[in-house]
Amino acid sequence: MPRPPTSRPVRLWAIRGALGIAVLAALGLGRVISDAWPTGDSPEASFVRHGQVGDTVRLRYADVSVDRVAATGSLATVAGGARTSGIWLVVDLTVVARQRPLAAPRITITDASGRIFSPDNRSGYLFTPAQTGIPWHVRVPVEMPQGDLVGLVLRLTGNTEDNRRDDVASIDLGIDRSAAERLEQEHAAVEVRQGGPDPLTAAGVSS
Amino acid sequence: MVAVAVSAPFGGLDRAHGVDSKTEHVQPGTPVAAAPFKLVVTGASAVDKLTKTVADGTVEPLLAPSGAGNHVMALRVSATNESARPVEAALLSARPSKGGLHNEVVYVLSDASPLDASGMASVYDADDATDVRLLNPGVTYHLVLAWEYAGPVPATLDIGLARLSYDPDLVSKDVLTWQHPAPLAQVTVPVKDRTS
Repeated sequence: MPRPPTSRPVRLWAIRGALGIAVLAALGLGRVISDAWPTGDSPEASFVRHGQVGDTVRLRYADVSVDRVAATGSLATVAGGARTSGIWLVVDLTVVARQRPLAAPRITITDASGRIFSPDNRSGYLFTPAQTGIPWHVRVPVEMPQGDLVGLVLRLTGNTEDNRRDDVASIDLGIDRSAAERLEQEHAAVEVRQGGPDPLTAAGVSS
Repeated sequence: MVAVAVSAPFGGLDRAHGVDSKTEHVQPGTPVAAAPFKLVVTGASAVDKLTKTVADGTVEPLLAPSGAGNHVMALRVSATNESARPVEAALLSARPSKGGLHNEVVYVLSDASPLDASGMASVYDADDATDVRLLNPGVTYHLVLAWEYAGPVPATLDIGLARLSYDPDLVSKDVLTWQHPAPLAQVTVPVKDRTS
């Protein structure tokens, strides 16, 4: 018995529906596969350049060095001052921007257990753009709990958002147990001001 | 049923983040594990305006009401970030609970809610009056959450505390953010009337 002829519009909608289901199934299958076998971050990993205090770490966008590490319980700022129930770790950096000004790097401290600490504007910290080729001296105060200074590492990235496949500085601040004990005994107030071409004096100069 | 099955690979069968309505009443001064913080709500004051005394003794305004007859509510909170990363102080910004919870751990149940257009409190360090933007891990911050409010000075202030979850962002599963508030505790603090 011959099959009744199917009208052309009905056949067209059936094909479209099947295609839609196939596309959804393919997307779903892709998601299941990527969840089950993630690619990891290796294709997007940053290029980490290691250094120590006093080293110049060469990055695609700047040369960076840590000049001095200090600590205090209080900061002297333009707005008055900032205190803490923990401790202010104060890192003096020199940044020389390459090719173009360095406007907004992200600077963080990582402790031995992997916790991450950032500077807050309440400390008076403000990264003014480092002019190309000019040594730019920046004081970075970071609020931290007391007793956790051993093994701190400073990380500097070229921007605050996206550092995939870009250079990142990782500088060991060289704080062993005796250095940590010494830092925790430092109490003199430290003056914080915007970064610029003028060299920084010792961290604990003001009171 | 088909729609749910099709949505499964995209999270359609993930556990829903419901709001637990069972909250515990705690006394002021009691530590509460309101992730990502450990919080202690210690007290509240109603003042005409919030000021800051700088080093030379000069008094500078910090927060003054914009509306005639309005006052400033100052809630004292100690907060310790117990996560492994800096957390924005905006999570403590004490929005009113009317209209649902946002991504905060502190919210105001009383009528003396923030009048600010954003419905948020400002977060200041109680010891030096600096404007706190983020809280680093492990440091205990003594804070004042301050906001303008209208109406008479209340005898008490009802504060809700919620815990947040560190979950993948809606847009990108690779980005984790503190979200999905779940009510955890309620604390009623007496309000000191320091208005003129």
